[in-house]
Amino acid sequence: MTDLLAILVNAVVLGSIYGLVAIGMTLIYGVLRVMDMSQGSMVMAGGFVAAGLMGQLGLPGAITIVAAFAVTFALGVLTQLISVQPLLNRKSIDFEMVTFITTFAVALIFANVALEAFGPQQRSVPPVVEGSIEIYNGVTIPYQSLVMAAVAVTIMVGLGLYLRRSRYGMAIRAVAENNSAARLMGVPVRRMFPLVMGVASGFAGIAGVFLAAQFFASPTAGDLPLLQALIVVILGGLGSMRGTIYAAYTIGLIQATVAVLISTTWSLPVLYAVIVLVLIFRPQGLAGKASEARL
Amino acid sequence: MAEAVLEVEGLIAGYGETTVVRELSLELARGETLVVIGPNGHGKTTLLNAISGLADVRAGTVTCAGERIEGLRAEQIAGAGLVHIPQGDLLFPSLTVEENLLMGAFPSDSWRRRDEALRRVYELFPALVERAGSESRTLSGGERRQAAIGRGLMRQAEVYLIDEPSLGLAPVIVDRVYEVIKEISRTSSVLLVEENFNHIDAVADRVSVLEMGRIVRTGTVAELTADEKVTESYLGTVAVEAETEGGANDD
Amino acid sequence: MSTDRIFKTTGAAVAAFSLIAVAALVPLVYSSQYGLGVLITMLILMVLNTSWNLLIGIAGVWNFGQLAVYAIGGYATGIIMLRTGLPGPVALIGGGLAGALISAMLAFPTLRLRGMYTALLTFSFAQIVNMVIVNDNTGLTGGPFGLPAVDGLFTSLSPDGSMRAYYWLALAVVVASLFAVALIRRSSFGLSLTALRDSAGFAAARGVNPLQTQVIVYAIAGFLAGIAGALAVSFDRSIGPEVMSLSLLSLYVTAIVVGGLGTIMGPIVGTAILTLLDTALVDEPALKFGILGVVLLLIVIFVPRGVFGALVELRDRVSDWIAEDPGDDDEAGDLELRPGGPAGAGGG
Repeated sequence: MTDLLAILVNAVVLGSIYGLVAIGMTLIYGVLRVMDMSQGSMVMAGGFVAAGLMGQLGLPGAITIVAAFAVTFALGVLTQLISVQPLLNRKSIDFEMVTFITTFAVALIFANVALEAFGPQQRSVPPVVEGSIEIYNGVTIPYQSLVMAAVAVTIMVGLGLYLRRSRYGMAIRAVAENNSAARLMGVPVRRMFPLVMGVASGFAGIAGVFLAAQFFASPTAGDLPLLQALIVVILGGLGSMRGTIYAAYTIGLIQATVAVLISTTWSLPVLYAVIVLVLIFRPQGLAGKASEARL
Repeated sequence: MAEAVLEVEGLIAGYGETTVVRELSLELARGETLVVIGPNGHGKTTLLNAISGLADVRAGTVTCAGERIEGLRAEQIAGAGLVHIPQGDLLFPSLTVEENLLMGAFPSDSWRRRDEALRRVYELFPALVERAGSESRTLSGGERRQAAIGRGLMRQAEVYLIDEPSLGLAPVIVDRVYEVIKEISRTSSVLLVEENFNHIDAVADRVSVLEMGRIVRTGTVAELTADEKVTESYLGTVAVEAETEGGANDD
Repeated sequence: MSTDRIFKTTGAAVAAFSLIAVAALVPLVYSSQYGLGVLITMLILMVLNTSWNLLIGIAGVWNFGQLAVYAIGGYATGIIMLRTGLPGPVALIGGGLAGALISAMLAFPTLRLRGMYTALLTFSFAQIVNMVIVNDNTGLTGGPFGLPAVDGLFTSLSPDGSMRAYYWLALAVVVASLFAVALIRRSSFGLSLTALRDSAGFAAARGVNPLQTQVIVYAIAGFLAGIAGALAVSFDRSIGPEVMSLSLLSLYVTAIVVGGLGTIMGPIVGTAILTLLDTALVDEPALKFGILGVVLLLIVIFVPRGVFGALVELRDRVSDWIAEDPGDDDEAGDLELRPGGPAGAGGG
């Protein structure tokens, strides 16, 4: 029973944070058709903001979160402008592959800048909220995890509402479904692209603030989250928000189960094995269209 | 002749490396409905795409209500008062019918008047009312076409570009669609691309024939039905009827 | 494009053979052990990157698992050398075959997957291979510490002689793989690859068997990567799972793209640039990632054909200009023939 509870709790916490990081990637892919490899860097950047503001200056968590969002929003816009925007009207290229490469290049650059600026050592970062609560028979959850999950869920729900209920949210969905038709309606897609990428990067930045307490801030702190986000996005179905969220919690569940029942070192290999199986048998994932995955 | 609301001169356009429209010129007068007919693949759709910004303009000019729009991006051209109702509908599949219609009113000034526009579209296409909350991918072909046209009507435009509205539709729906187009033609300027000649004479002020990327003939419906070459190629049974009525308009 | 000649012009053939001759002479005039070592490593990487380019550039398959194939080739060769008495060359071929086999296996699940998905599948596969090796307690692969020391190939030669032997061996393999790729490119098999890459449906309709083509190209690329791994293990005398690291992956892919994706000499140029950068930054090794990132970005945006591709384009433009050929701009030709002259370059 305690095991089951531990698994569920961990699954929800993990799933929420995966969702937060992956939802940005899905948004970017849906709207811009770009597989943004710099999202990991945004998590990393958020971690450094946390290290600086919370760690060194002792500022409260709420301010740090807002600051991290602002910083990674700006970085996201910058990334879009230098690695996606110039390629938008080129005809003879495989846009998805090329932007995969250019965003990857940006990630390399960011990692290097961080390395030069902050050095390779891992910096510890205090949690946004201290302390933990015992919910049952030795199963404790740190408040940090609860807050992290709550923030993540709030953001995901908020995003969902925005997309469904607002004029620009609807426009974003329209652009994701049919770019040409949306342009015929006068939707300013060119201006929206950097903004969408900025906001999505901002989400990753916020995730970074929370993750840094557990995984430390360092120039390579974004590598694993990037991989995990990729896995979630593919499992969920490229471009599908709903799919991403299902996939995030599914992966959270798988990882929590493996971690509690076997050991944490096996959670990543199991994940890779799962994704290989998914890609072989159902590459479109949970909610994607078969036509997107197969030629 | 009324002032020209749309002028195309010497247009050379296509996609990427291919050129489809080769030095095409035409003029649409304000309030006029000009129908462009011609064989498939010769550039009718590319012409409309070039005007609305979806195809590449390599040379020539396009002027809409006095503003030069060639080379501008599609979203800018839409802002300049041009509505393009494209072939294939291009609806947003997972958005509901009503959301699709609302997208048609996206620009700020149209957005303010969206409720009224929505009402008007529902009046013109009652079939859409009960489907308003369904995702547009669940619609039948006829419903989809009506939604696409309805979406185009959510904005007041200087010029409406309509691409093959009757394509693939059952006759009953085609009738309905053309009733609406006739409504539009009465008060707006329309550039209509069509293959199906049966309804054209009801709406067309003039007809142009587009072949090999160029306009080769322009005239009224009567003039064109009297022209044997045109009737043979494009007009089918309508021409036979017109001739048996005593082709009084032979040159 | 001729499908039967490897070199488009005699000029190119002369240039190529001269380059090979010059390269072959290097160890005779340059005797720094350290320098030769760097060059040998570079040559081995050129084989790897050529095999990689065959897949991602020429066949258009987003394969990001090539490092695992390379590693498997190396491990296979190492294990053969350590545990069997088979002679060196056999071990090398064994490594190549191991690579070919593993690689061919990947051809099946990736057959109809779109780019991104193939990338993730092959990458995850590589990660799994990595983890399996790192967690191997059976002593076969040596786990995270890598294989125990392996004898070199040229144990009977002096250290100098051995270096030179490795150099010439590696050079020979590079030249052979380039010829192999060129042959593929110019053959009907190469046409099938291009057809499959650009328009799979059309290719299938024309009788190209996608599975067969895919398996063959994967196998060839895998063989080359395996040989590269085999050379690496025999030169370095050891191999470990760190050859599959993410940073190396990004370096090599960057090298290929910067050099010129899809061109034959692209990987050569790219690897050379990478090696240059490495030696220049030997005191600040981490900086090269940043620099490569910038170079990658600039190249992809401004010089999308890569350095070699750009050079080829430049040469074409120059020879066109020399021949006073209006070039293959059909547009311009059309316009000039029409009465009234060209319509001008407006719009667009």
